[in-house]
Amino acid sequence: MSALHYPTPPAVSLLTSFLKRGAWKGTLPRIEARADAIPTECAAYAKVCGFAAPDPLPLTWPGVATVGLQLAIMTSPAFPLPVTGIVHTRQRITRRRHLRAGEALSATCVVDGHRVARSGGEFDLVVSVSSAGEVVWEGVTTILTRPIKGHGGEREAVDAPPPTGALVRSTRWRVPADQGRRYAAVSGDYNPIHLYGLTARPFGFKAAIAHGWWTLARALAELDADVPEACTVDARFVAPVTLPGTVTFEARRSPEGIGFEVRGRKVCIVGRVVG
Amino acid sequence: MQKPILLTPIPPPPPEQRVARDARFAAEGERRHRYHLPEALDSANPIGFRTRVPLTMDEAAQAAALLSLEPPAAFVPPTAAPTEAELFEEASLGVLSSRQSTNYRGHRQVTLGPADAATLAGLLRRLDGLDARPGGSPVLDGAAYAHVGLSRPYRTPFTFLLTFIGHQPVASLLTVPVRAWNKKFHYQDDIPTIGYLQHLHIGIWAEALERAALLASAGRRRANVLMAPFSGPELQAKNAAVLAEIEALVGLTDADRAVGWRVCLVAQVGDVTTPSPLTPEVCRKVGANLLAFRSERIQPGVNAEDKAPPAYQTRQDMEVPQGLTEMAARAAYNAFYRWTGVDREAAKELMLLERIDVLTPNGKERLRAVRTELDAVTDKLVAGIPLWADLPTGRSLSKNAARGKKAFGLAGQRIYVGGLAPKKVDAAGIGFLHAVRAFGAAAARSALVCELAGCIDLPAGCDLLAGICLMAGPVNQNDIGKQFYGGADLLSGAYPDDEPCALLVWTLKAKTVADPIGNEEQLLNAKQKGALVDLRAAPHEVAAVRRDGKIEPIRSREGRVNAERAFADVGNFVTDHEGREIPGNRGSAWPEAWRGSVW
Repeated sequence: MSALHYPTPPAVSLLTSFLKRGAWKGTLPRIEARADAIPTECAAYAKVCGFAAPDPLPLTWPGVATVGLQLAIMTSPAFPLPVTGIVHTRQRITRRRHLRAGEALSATCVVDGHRVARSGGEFDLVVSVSSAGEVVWEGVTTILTRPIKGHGGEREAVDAPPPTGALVRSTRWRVPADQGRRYAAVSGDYNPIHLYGLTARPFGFKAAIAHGWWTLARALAELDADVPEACTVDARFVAPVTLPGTVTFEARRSPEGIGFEVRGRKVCIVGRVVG
Repeated sequence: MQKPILLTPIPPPPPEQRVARDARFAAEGERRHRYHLPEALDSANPIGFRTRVPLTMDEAAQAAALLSLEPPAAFVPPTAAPTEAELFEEASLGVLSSRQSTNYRGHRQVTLGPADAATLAGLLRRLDGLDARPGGSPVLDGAAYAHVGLSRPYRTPFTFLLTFIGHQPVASLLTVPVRAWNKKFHYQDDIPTIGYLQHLHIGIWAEALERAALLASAGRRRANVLMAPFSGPELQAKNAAVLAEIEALVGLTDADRAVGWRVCLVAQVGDVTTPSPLTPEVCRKVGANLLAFRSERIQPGVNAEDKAPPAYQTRQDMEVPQGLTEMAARAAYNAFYRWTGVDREAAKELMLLERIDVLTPNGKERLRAVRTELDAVTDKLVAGIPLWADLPTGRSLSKNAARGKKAFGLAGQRIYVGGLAPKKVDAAGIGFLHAVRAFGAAAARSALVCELAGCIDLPAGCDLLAGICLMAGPVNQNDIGKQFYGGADLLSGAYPDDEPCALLVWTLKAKTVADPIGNEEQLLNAKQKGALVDLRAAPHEVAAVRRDGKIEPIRSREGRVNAERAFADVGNFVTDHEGREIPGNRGSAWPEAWRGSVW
C-alpha cells in the first residue's frame, strides 16, 4: 500500500503519468491519499453549476475539491496506469448532513483493485470527507481505463434505469460553447477535451464536451430542494454533453426516490437521488 | 354595486359527437405540422402548453366571485411578508399572460416594496382625475407592495404593414415616410383603433391584476388598481410633475420614454380582512385554468383548415344557454361600472353591443354581410399597397395583407361586436381613452364568464365546452375601410344615431375540441416547426422589483432565468394520448432559497 499526503500532484508525476503506455495486466494496488483540509469557498463554482447558494456546500463540491487527491493517486509512481484516456463512468455520492462554508473538513481518497468491464478495466476512487473525525460525505468515482483489457462481452445493463414515476421537473438547458472553460476556471479541471473543439479532437471527440461533474452538478442544482439533506446520489454517465448544445433535464418521483435524466440526442446521464 | 354572477354549465353533446384534440407527437420520419405536439419547449415564460382544468359546480360558484370583485376598502397589516414565489405567480396571471394572443410586448411592471409603496401612495394622492370610488379616496394606506404598470403604443408587424396603406400611388413616395416618422417619433397611429388597442390591453391587464393578487395569495391579499389618472394626454399633462416622480421611482429612463413607455396603471396590493371567496385549492385550480385559456379561433367544421385532423372537421351544433350569455353581459356591465364609476344602467347605455346569433337566419345573413364588407376592405388595401415597397420585398406586404381574410374570419355560435359612442362617453363625463380601457376590461371579464363556464364538469375526453376569441382584427379592418375607403362603422347599422366606434369583436364557440396546439405555435415559433422558441416574454424581461433603491428584474439571478411554470402543482400540462408530456413543458421550480420574502 502507498500512502500519499498531498492534495495536488507534483508536475513531474503528472508528466510521467502521461508517458505510461500500453496494455497492462495485474491488480491495482491499494493507494491512499489524504488532505488535512479541503477548501469550502465555492461561490464561483455554485454560480457556474446553477446552485442557489454556496452555503451549505453544493452536494458535488467535496468531489471537486478533492480532485487533487484523486489526481495525486492516479499520477503517483505506484499507480501503474496512465491518466490520459480515462473515462468517468459513474458517480455515487452519500451525504450524511449539510456541509457548511468555513467548516473544517479533511479528506481521504483510496483506490484498491479494479474490475474487468466490457471495454476495459474499472476502478473506484473512494473519497471520504470528515468533519471532527466523523465522515459526513462519501464519493465513489468509477473510472474506466482502456489499458486493462475488457472482457468484450455483452454491454452491461445501465445500473440506474431510466426514471419512472410522476414527472416533477422537465426543462431545457442551453449549454454554451464556453461551458467547459467556465467550469474549468472554477474547478481546476483543464482537461483539453472540455475546452475547445480543436483541443478535443486529438482525443477522439468531434467537439468539446461538458465535464461530467458539471452535468451532474447542474442536474442536482436543478433538483434543488428535492434533494434531501441526508441522501445518496447514484449517477451513470452514458454519453457526453456536446458543446454547445441543448439538453432536456427530466426528473420523476417514485417510491424509490427521484430519478433524473439529462438527454440530448441520446441519454447523457441517468441517475437517482434517494433520501 | 356589481351584480353577482352565476356560472351556467353548457350541456355537452351526446358522447358519440364528442371529439378531443388529436394531440400526438410526429412519428419518426413523419413530416411535422402545426397539429403535432412540438418536440420540446424551451421557454422561460411561466405558461407553457396547458390544458383546462375541470371545475365542479361548487368550484365554479366560488370562481364566479372573481367576476364581481369590489376593490378593497382598506388594507390591514400583513400577516406575512410577500414572497418572491407569490410575486412570480401574480405576475404570471398579470403582466405575463393578460394579453393572450399576440406577441406585442407593450407592458412592463415594476413592483415596489412597502416603504416605496407608501411613498407612491403619497404621490397618487396628488394626482388629478383619480378613479371614482364611493366613500372616499381611492388611494389606500398600508399596501404590502405596489405594482406600477408601464405601457407603450401598440406596434407589431401588422402595424408596420399599416404604414403602407391608404396612400395615393405617386404621393406615397413622400407620404409613407412622413407617416412612418410620425408613428415612430410622435406615436401617431395609422388608424384610431390601433391606438385604442393599447388602452384595451391596459384595461384587460387591470382586470387581470385584481384576480391575480387574490389567486396568488390564496385569497389573503387584494389589489386596488388605479388607472384613471394615467389615461389620456390631458390628464398626463396635468399630472406631469407627479408622473415624473413616479417614473423616477420605477427607473423609467429617457430612452424608455423616447419609445413611448409611460405609466399606465398602479396596483396597490395588501392584506384584507374580507374572507376569501375561494378556497386555496380553488385558487390554484382557477389560476392554472387562467393560464390555459387561449383565443379559440377554430369552430370545428366551419373554419378549420383542410389539412386539420378529422376532429376539427366535424361540425358541432352545440347550444349556448341563454343564461350564459346573460351572465357574460352582466359581467361586462359589472366591469364597466367598476372601472368608470358610472352606474350599471348607464353602463348598458354606454357600451354598444351588437349580437349576431349565428344560429338564426338573420344572424347568418348579418355575418355574411360583415364578412363580405371586411373582405372588400382587404381587397382594396391589397390593391393599394405601393408597388415600390411591395415588389422589392417579394410582394410580402400584399401577401400578408391578404392573409387578413383568413385571420379575421368570424366563426362561432354567438358573435358580439362591441364599441363605444365617443359623444355619449363624453357626455357621461368619462375620458374616452379611459372608457376604452374600461371597455377592454369589460370584454375580458365577459369572456372569462364563458371560459370558466366552459370548464364546468368537463366530460372525460373533452378539451373544453366553450371558448372565446376576442378579436380586434375585424375592427381594425373595418376602421381601414372607414378611414381610407369611405366605409361605415361595424356598429353603425345597430346604432345609426350614435356615431359609434367599434372596438372589439368576440366570438363564442361551444365545442368539445380545443384549438390545435399549432395555433399557439404560430405565435410562439417563427419557424412553426420543431422545438419551440417561446416568443412570449420571460419574467425578467417585463417584471422587476425595486429593492434597496435598485430596479432588479425578477427571476434572473446568478446567471439563471426562470424555468418554472406558474400553478404547476395543478399539473394541467398537455400530453399525448399515452400521457407523454412535451419535454421542457412542465418546467422546473425556481430554487427554494430564492423564493422567500422579497423585502
